[in-house]
Amino acid sequence: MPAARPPEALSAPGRPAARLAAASTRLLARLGSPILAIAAALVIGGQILFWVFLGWTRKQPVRLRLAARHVVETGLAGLPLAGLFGLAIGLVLALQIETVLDFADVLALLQQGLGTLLVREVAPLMVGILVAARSGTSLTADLGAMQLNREIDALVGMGINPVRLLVAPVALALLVAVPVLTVLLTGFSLVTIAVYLDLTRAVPPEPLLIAVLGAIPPGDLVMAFGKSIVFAAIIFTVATTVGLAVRRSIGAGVTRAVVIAITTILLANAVLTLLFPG
Amino acid sequence: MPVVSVDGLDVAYNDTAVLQDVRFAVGSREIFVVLAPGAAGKSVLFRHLLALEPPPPGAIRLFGQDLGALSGRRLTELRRRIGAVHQQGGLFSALTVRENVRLPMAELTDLPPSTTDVMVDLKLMRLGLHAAADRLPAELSAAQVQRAAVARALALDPDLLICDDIVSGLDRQALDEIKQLVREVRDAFNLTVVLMMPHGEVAMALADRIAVLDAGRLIGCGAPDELAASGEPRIRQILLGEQGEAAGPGLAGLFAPLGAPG
Repeated sequence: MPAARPPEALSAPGRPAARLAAASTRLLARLGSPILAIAAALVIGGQILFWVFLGWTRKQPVRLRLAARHVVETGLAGLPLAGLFGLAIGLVLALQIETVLDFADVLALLQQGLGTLLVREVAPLMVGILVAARSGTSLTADLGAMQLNREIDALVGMGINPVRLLVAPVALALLVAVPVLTVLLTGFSLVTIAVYLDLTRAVPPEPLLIAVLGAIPPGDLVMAFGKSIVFAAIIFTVATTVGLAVRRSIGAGVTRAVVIAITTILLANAVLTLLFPG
Repeated sequence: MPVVSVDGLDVAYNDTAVLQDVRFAVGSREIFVVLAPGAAGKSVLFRHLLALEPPPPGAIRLFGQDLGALSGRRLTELRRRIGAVHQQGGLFSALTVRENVRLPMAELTDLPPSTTDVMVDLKLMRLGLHAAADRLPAELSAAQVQRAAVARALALDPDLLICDDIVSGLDRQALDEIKQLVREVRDAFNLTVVLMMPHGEVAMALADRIAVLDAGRLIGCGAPDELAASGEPRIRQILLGEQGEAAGPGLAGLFAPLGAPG
């Protein structure tokens, strides 16, 4: 075995898609350059989406049962964390709201800003970070271990596309779980705020919640959903790209994946907010 | 028509030649060993034979088909005729032995699950793995790992079995077992077998023909007796020596700060 291990090919040359895959894995070997890394990530992201949505045209659909299991793993198991995040964020917001309670018409303030802030900005971002840390890392570690253990080679040698078998179910699960968790985290936060203000300032919770929820414009909901989908795509693309590029240390790969994913999510969030200020 | 034909394979990484003008052909039902010390290019050859690295056009033909010219779908079809055993087995570590053997059948055939289960059990029984069927790869002995990897490679009844080094790190008893296993599966499944190994003694005992690879070049090819009678000192050295190989990927990252070689 030579010291420098040659790049792995996910598929061999021939058809354009296969050639693209081979090119992406050659790029993977030199992830050092950010431009090459982005190119590799785009190709791999495209592959993942291809298998998720068009795999059935090749008679290789995503294993829905596996995807369902991943929904349970990311979604249900992430639920307590999303709850905790929601609680913590809600509490902080409630404390801040409380300080201005005496000065202004708080209900109007909440209607104007709070819904938008939570729905459009805070909740998607928090869930993105949470899922990148919980599920993205585990995907990177799994792929990295399988790469070192030659399990990825074994799959490719059999003619089974590892992206289709291993990544597509997770990707599909994240596309479902991230928006759901975002909705739940928003709900937890709002309820926390209402309960806190009820307890400390006797602000009746029901009218408050109805007023805030009623004032959320549909555009905000679309934006929240859009961000969730974009963040999910960032998480599985980065986790897969980095995981398949692991050549030595899984630990270094996981660190790299979570840093890149969270940074990209923050940047994407800023760009989306700038482009669609609402 | 040879099952495997390698015709002038050149491979270089970063301008360093790893394989130079490698040529050999393997006939049907032959046990063919590529014998090579440590870093002579065995694994690179293995990866090219499986098209894990894109092979240059015309250099490798399997069943008469040029690996370098096959389209993605045709390559996938061809791969179903090839069973591969990777270094250290390459078993799916999260799956039991039974699930490892089941996976290719479940993914690549349209058989109903009940039929697949029966066929998996038959394969496991045939390879003496029934008692270990529900263990994870980490719970197996080194010899059992190789056995399970062979079972998985044979899951789809291939015509050709290609093994990267399956003998390194085995004790004498396990070596004898592997020798017997390879002969058995060749006869039982009507296979052509290509094995990469650094172990001259096992190669002499097992192979119908041996190709000796040294520093990326083939320095001899023939029946064990012919090679043993060869006057080339390097061939005799490789045939008689027992060169082991360094351990596989480890926790290099953990040791990198200590200055250990990665």
